[in-house]
Formats: sequence, structure tokens, C-alpha cells
Amino acid sequence: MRLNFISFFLYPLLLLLSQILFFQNINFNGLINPHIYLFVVLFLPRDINLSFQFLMIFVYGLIVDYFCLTDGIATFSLLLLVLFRFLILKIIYNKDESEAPVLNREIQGYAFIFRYVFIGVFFYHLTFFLVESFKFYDILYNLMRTILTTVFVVLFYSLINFIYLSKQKK
Amino acid sequence: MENIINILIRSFPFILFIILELITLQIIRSSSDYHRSMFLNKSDYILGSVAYQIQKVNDYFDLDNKNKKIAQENAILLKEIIDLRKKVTFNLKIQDSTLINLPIQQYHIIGAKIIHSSVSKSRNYIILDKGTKDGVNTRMGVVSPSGPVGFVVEASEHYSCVMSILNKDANLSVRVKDDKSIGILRWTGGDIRVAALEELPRHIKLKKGQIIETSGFSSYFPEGISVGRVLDIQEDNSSNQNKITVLFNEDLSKLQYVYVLSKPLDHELDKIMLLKDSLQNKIDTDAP
Repeated sequence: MRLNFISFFLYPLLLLLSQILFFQNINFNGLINPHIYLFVVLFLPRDINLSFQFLMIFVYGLIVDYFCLTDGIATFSLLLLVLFRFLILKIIYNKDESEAPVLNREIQGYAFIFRYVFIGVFFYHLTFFLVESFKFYDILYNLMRTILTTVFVVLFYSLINFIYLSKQKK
Repeated sequence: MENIINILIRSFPFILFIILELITLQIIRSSSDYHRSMFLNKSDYILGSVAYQIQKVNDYFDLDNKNKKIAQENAILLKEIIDLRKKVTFNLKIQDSTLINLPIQQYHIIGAKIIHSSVSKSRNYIILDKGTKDGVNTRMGVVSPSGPVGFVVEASEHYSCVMSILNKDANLSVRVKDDKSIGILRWTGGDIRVAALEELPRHIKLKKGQIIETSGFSSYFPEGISVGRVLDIQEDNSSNQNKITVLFNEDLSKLQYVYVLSKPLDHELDKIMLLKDSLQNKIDTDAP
């Protein structure tokens, strides 16, 4: 019950608040625009009904769009990520996806989680920037934005993990 | 049936995903001006490309008819070249002998495609795919190989609007080819193949089948362009004119390509006409 409350309410709310208050203001000449609320999708428990996942992320995406003024682009990209994350897991996990309903570094290991996060973040930002510009001839610029933003987000994720782990060790 | 229902149930999440994505795209389109214009651009581009490809296929299958038409046009043009050569030779002989410099009216010819045309109204107009960028301007005549088509009344950068001769407001100055009697050709509505020849005095005796051509009295058309033939003559004792019906050379509803006649010296004529009007006004105001 506690896990469900954290997964479904506290965790998404925390990510949305940090996005609005902090990450929304990061803009290195338009090259780094991190969207960290996507971790809600990446670490969504996989044993939930897929249709319910889509509906839940749709509502969450609309809330994000409303507060971040992204005109529906976040919802579009998040929904695509829900579908795509199963593909990522199939490619890099090499096991039946139903085996592990929750993604956790203690179950799957750090290397796996980082690979998964990296591909997921990259895919999300690429979709977001492409839909935002809506021009395929801008793909090189968007690719550069995506790579820089992905590196930033993954570094941030590693930093949070590092702080959390060092606290645990103490 | 059961299988279909099973497939639908199994693919329900995917169908839901598609529906939600479509809703999101609609939100993106409606809430952002930039995306709305981009959507419109892309849809215009796609629809335009599809229409263009369909048009290309249609054009391909219509090539046979077009070839026949071009061959006919070529034949007419060749005949005209021969006639003009004869005339030029004749004029040169006159110049040599009498030193009279005959004015030669030159027309530039701009080929245009009809992109919209109406024939069912009492005031019909034609839209051409050529505009001011191609040299088309107002006060220019439009002809087909079979005769006059209309007058340019509006011209934008890429398109122009032509008042068809099938327009109740259009008057075409014409003459009878044989005796050069001048009249006005007006379309009175109804049948698009015929028009009425008016202002021709009763004493001029016409025969059915006589050729009617442009008089050259307006700056729109040069003289001698065949318009049609006399179809019917009805004597009218109540007025000093007979009711004469002229059959056009071609059915204007089937036209696809036309030629716009541009007269380089037209602006000089305009200047003279303006000067004439101002002088006329001055004389009128000075008169007691």
C-alpha cells in the first residue's frame, strides 16, 4: 500500500514540482532542456494493466503540459515512451519481461538500469524535440540537443543515486 | 466473429494508445499556432502532391487529344505565318515605292492554363494560372485558337481573372468579314454556343454562314480574329436592326489553354485617352 502511494502519487508529484521549479529554468542556449518527469514512465510498475498505464500517463501528461506550457507535446512523448519502454526492455533484458514486475537496481543490476535509463531518456527527448520543432530537416540540431540533454539527465540521475547510496552506507 | 472480438480485446491497449495519441495531436494542433500552421503546411503539401500526381496521370491519358489539338493549332499558325509573310512582302513593296511607313501593331502572346471556368451563370468568369509576374495585366484580351475568349479584369501576382465573352456585361466589337460592316457582339444568356450581333444597320444584308471577326477597334484584340458564323437572321420591322444570331467557333466550356494578348504600346494609348478625357472635361467646363 505504501509502495503504491509513493509510486502513483508522491513520486510523480515530486518530479513534476522539481520540473516546474528547477528543471524548467535550465536552458543552455536552447541546447539542454531536461524533462525529468519521464522517470514516472520509466519506473512505472510493469504488472499494471497496459490500458490503465496509457490512461494514467495520459492524465499525468496533460497535467505536465498544463503546468509546463508544452501544449500536449509532453503527453504525446510520454505515451510513446510507455509503448517504447517494453521494446527497450525486450532488447536489453533478454528475459521474459513478466519475470520482474518492478525495475530495481538490486534485481537487475546497475549496468542494466543505466542502459535502460539512457535509452529511455534519449528516446523521450528525441521525440519531444522533434514534435516541438515539427521539422525533419532540423534533425541534426535536435539530435545534438537530445544527446546533450540526455547526458545531463543521466548525470543528474547518477548523482542522485550516488548521494542516496552514500547515505545508505553511512 | 468470436475471433474478431478476441483480436479486438487483445489489441485494445494498442487501439487505446492510437486514440490517445490522436487526441494529443489534436491538442497540440489546437493549442499552438506554430503547430497549427505546420500541420496546415504539411497537409497542403500532401494534398497538393496527391492532386498533382492524379493530374499527371490524367494528363498522360489525355495526351492523344492534346496532340491532335496542338497539331490543329500548329496548322493554323503555319497558315498565319504564310499569310503574314505575304503581307510583309506586300508592305515592303509599298514602302519601297511610296515611302509610306505603315504602323504595325505588335502583340506579345502569353500562354495560360484555365484553372477555373464557369459557363452556367449570366456573368461568367475564367481564372488563369498566369498573373502580373508573367506579364498579364488588366485591359488585355484573351483568345483561344478558335477566337476571342474574354478580357482580363483583375490580375494578381500569379493568377488573373478574365471576364468571359459569355458575360452579359461583355461587349465585343466585331465586323462582317466580307463587307467590313461593324457591329457589337453580346451574349444574352442561355445557350453558350450563340450570341447576338447588334447595332448592325438593317440595310446591310447578311447571309447565313458569313464569318464574323474582330474589328480591331478596341485595344483588346487585333482585327481579323474569327469569332464565329452567322447562324440565323430574323427581320424585325419594329426597329432599325435585324435580330442576328452568331454561332461561336468553339464551345467555351471545353477550353483548357488560352493565350493572353499583351500590347506593348497600350500604355501610350491609355495616356492619350486620359489626355483626351481631360481636354474634353475642360471644354465642357469652359463652355457657357
